[in-house]
Amino acid sequence: MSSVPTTVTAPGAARTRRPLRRHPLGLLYVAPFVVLFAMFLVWPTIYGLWLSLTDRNLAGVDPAAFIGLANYAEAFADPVMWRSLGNTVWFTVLTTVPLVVLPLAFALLVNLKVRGQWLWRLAIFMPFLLASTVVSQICVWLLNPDLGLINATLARIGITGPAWLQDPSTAMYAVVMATVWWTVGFNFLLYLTSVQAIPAQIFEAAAVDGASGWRQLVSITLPLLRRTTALVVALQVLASIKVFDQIYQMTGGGPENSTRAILMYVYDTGFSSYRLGYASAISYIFFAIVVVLSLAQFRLFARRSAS
Amino acid sequence: MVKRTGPPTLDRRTLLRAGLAGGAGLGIGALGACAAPGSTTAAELAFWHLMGGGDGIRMDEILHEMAGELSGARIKQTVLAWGTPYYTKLAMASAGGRAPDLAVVHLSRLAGYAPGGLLDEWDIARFEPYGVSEETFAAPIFERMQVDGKLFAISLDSHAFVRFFNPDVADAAGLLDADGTIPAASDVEEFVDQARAMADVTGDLGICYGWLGDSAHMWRLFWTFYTQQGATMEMADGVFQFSEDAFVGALDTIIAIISSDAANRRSDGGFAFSTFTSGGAGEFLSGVWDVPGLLDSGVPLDASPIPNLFGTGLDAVWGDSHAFVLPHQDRPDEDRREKVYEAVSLILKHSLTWATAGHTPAYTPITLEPEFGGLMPNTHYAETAEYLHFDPAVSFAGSGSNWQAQFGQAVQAALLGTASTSDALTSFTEMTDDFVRQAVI
Repeated sequence: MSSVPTTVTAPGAARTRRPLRRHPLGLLYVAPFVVLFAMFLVWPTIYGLWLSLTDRNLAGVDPAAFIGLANYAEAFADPVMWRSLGNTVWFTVLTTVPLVVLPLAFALLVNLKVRGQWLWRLAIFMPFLLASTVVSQICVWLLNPDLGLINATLARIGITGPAWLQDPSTAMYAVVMATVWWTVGFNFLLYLTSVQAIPAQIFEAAAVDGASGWRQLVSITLPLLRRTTALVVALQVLASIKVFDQIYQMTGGGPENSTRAILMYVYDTGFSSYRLGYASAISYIFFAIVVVLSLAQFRLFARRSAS
Repeated sequence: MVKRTGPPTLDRRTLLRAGLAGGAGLGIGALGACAAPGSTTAAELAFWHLMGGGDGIRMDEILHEMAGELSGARIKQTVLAWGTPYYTKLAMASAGGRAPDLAVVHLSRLAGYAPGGLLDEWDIARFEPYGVSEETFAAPIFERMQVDGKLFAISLDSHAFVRFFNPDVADAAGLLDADGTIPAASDVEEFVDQARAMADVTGDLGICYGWLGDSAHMWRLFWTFYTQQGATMEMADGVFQFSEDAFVGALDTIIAIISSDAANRRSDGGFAFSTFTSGGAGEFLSGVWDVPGLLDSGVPLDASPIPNLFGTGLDAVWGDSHAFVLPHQDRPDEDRREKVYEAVSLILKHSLTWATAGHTPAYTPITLEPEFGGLMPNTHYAETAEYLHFDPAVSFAGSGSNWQAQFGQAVQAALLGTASTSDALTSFTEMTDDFVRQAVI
């Protein structure tokens, strides 16, 4: 009697089909997630797409009518949307650079064998634990033109500080400063764990070969942190491009729309002007941009990793 | 046989069963929470409002005071943050037809709600058994309670932008008349001179006004001065019409006040309030809802309407009103609705408590009571209820609206002195055009 099977099943097929038949209870385990995923992500996504093709208005007299791509056409011709998009990109650039460089620098400094490391770690990471509302209120008071600590400090050295959050030329930078202070801790933690994971023997060997501290940094530390940097950049770009909370609370998008981000415009259009259809269209344009950006980043870093 | 003597151990199956049971319970609970407020028990009226701080405390007091008088029903209040979040939630609940039984809106927002079908009509005749009628409201307020001749709101109060002053400072500055009032200035120069006289007494500021970063406050004083010139803003044939001269005139007047040496040009709400309450300024321009906080601070306090500075002889100030509305319900229960009428009547009759928050009750019998006459400084600005000017009656305007926020953005640079009033006019025109373009009703 031959022990060779008469039919051959692809190994992958066997792995994917049989467990479900054998263990139908497994479906029960994933069912809550599937239901929630469908209810709160898949359905709203589809419904939002449908809304973007209608003139649905919460306060409108007439029922929503299908208007095709009219909302998209209006959005592309809307200067406020482009301004908001530009602000979002500018905010992303202004925050991503310091939120990659500073945490790296902090991690390297904290990793030096200096005393009181716990204090430095705490001081840098602590703001990240605060809620956006708390951070915003603290910063609004700090940046108050007449009562704030920052202008009071500047006044001591003879400088008249600006009305940070009320002047269109400084408001974005003020929000960026607040954001960097608030969120630098998370990236710092990522870098710190990566720096501490580099085996000490590598540095010892380099030191034996006569490599200076700078050479060790350039030739060992930074190259070994490349993957972490890729991760930090990717996460930071996605986090910054979705900015809403702190701007909403610190400036409300003003003055003169100088800090209005694209998500704020979606919020204003949908929830203040009640134009749900138009707000959905802007959301989908933004969604498309984020997808393209994410894919570009993914390909870029995948190529670097391969090389 | 195994005999258990200790507490039952928690195995994987038990945990799973407990988790599923708990999850189901939570799910049912969550779905229950999603149910329409109107579908709660017949005796419980769902009431949404936006009263926080001192206002919220007083509304709570009133509901407790009247609880025994409202037989067969009780009120369950839900307090939401005012501004866009509140109005959006209310609009969404109404659009779904499963709204609360009763809600509060600002009268200035009525034009954006009523024509769109988000509100149900009140029947003034149904109030008569409870002692409420058209005659029990001030004429301009009753007029604004209607849209296209239909009654969509029942006003609880009027609240205006006024001039608070420190009578001790004003007296030391030689400004007080024999009856303890400050004579109404006839133009901006005289108004600023009065502030300067008070600045000489305080050694700091004469007048403070917390406008910086606060679009609502910018709008309130602007609208006061704009309407004092007899100008209006309205939509006619799809075009938003307003007076450019009056716009510039109002803005220039604010600039003249805040940029004088008796004021601080970069003053936000916190700065203005603390400066006045600490005796650092003789006058404080703000809304009447600041009365509880000002009284609590212990600063000597009096108030007056903001005088007409344009020589037009028109009494005009910015004002608004908290008002009761019936958010749209697809299938209202008439018995519950009758209780809503009774409840609103009772709240109006208890609005003397509401007056202690600084507001002037809209239900006029209350303002005729001796107790109201004893409220200070309320009685010194109560007259504003007769001539206050609501925001333009267009769908995108009103308290907490995005248009108001955008107005602040348009004029702030001019107020700060980094742009001209004509720049502000251009920005205002452009941003309003956007709102007109997007308006649907």
